[in-house]
Amino acid sequence: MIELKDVCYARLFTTDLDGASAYATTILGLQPAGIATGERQFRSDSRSHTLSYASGNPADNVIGFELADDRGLNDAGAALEAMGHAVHYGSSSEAERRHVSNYIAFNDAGGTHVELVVRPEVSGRRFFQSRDPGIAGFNHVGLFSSDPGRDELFWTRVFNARVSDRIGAIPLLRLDRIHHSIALVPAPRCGIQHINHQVESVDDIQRSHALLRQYRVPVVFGPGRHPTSGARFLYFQGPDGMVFEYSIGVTEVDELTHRERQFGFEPSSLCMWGSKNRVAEFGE
Amino acid sequence: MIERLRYIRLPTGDLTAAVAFSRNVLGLQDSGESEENVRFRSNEHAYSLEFDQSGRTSAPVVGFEVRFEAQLDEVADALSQQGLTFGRLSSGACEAGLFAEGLCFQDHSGNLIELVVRPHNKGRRFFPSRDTGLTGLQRVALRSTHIVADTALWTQALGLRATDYVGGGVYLTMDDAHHRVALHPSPRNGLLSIGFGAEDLDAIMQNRYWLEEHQIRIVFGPGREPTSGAVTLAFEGPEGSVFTLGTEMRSLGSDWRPRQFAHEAASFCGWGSPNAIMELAGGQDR
Repeated sequence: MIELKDVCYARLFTTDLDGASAYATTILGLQPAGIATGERQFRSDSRSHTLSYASGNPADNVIGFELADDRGLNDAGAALEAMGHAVHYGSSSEAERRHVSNYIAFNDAGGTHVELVVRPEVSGRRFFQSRDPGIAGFNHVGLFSSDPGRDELFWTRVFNARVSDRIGAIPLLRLDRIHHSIALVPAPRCGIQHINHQVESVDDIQRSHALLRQYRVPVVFGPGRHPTSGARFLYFQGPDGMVFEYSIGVTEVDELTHRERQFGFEPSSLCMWGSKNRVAEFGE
Repeated sequence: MIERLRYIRLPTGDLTAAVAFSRNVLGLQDSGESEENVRFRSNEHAYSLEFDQSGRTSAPVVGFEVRFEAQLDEVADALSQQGLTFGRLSSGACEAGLFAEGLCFQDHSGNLIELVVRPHNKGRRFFPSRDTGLTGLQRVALRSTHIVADTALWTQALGLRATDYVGGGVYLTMDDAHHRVALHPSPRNGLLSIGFGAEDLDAIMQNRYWLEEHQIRIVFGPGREPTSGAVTLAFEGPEGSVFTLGTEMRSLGSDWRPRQFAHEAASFCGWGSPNAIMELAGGQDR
C-alpha cells in the first residue's frame, strides 16, 4: 500500500503562456512564485507552488501527490513497475525544478500523468494573493477516467485512497479526513478534469461569482452546494479548457463511522440548490 | 412602544393571482378567505399577509403590534404634534382584523400604517404549502418622500431606534434584529419590499434557482447587505410588489452604534449583485 499524504501540485501546459499566466494571477488570484526553466509557478497556500504553466500540449497535464519519504517513494516505484507501469525516476535537476527533494513519474492505466514527490518545499513567506478571492489553498482535483471502476481499484488498492461517496459512476476518493482529494470523472480521455482551490467563506464564492461574470469568464456550474461533501462551490472555465473550482466547507469524514453513500446520477446529487450544470462530464 | 411587525395588507385587482403567488411561490399557509380578501400565515401569528379586493384598501398597509390600548392614545398625541391626522379603527374592523383595538394613520410621505393591540396568534404551528424554508414576516422597506420628517416620526413618535444609515436612508428596529423597518428616500411613496426570513443560505439559494426556473423576475441578489449582514433575495410579486427572503441578519447588542454608509452600490451589496430597485441601486461606486 502506497500512502499518499495529499495532492501537491498541478503542472499544466498551454499554447499561450502569457495568457495562462495572466489568468492565474488576475482571475484565479494566485501569487506568482518564480520561473523554473520555462515553467511559471504559482502559489495558493504556504507551499512554494501548487500550480505551474509551461508551453506545451494542454493534454499533457500532470497531477502531483506527496509521499512521506524516500523509502515510500522507492517502494512505490518498485510496486508500480511490478504492475507493469513504466516509472521515471526524476533527476536532481528535475526535482529541483519542482521544488521537491525527490520524485517519480508514471502514467496510470488510463494514461493520466502522475508524479509522486517527497518533501515539497514550503515557503517562509506567507501566501499573498494577487486579487482578493480569499484563497485558502489548493485542495483537490477531478481526474478524467475512461474506466472509473478500474481506476477506483487502482487508487484504493495500490494507494491508500478510500471511497467517501459515489455519484452514479463518479467515485469521490479521500486521502485523509477531507471528504475527497480525487474525483474520478468518467470520460473517454485522461488527465486533470478540474482543479479546486478552497476559499475562506461563502461570501468569497459569491463575490467571485459577481466578478467572474463582470470579466466574462464562463461560469459552468454554480454557485451551488454539493450534497455529498457539503461544499458550496463555483466552477468556471480556465485556459485551454481547464475547469477551475472555488469551494468552501468540505466536510471532514469520520474514518471509523463513515460509510460511502451511493447518490443517483441526477442534477440534485451534484447540486442541492438547483444550479444548472454545464460541465459536460457531470451529465445533463 | 411598537413591539412587532405584524401584517401587510395589499390592495389587489386579481385575488386569484395573489393567492396563487402566496401559496405556490412564497409557500405561505392559507388562513381564511372571503370573496373579497384572503389571508396567509408565515409564522405563529394568525396572518402575516392579506390581499384585499374589496376596494376598501386604497394602498399597501403595514400593521404593527403595540401592547396596551393606552399607547394608542400616546401615539395619537405624538402624531398630532407632528401635524399628522389619524383615526381609530371601528370595532367591526378590529373584529374582522383579529385584534382588540387599532389606530390608523399616514406617515409624512402618505404611507398607510396601522397599530393594533392584542392581535391573534394561532395555537397550531405554521405549516408551509411549499418547502421554502420561510421563518416568518421579518421586515418591511418603505419609500419616503420626506425622509427627515419620517425618520423623526419613526424614532420619536413610534419609538424605533436607528441602527444604520445609507445615504439619506435609515434602518430602524424595535428589538435585537438589525432592522424591522427601512426608509429609503424616493420621489414617490409606497411599499418598497416585504421581507420574510429564511432558515439559512441553502434556503435562499434553493429559492433563487426555483424562481429562475419558474420565470419569476429576481430584482436583487442573492447578495449580502453590508449594513444588516443579511443575505437577501428580492423578487417580483403580484401587481408591482416586491418580496424578499433574508437570512443571517445581524443581532445587535445594546452597545450598537449606528453607522453611516455612502449612497453607493457597495453599501447595498457586498458581493457585487446589481439591484434593479432604483432606490437601492446606489448609483456608481465612488
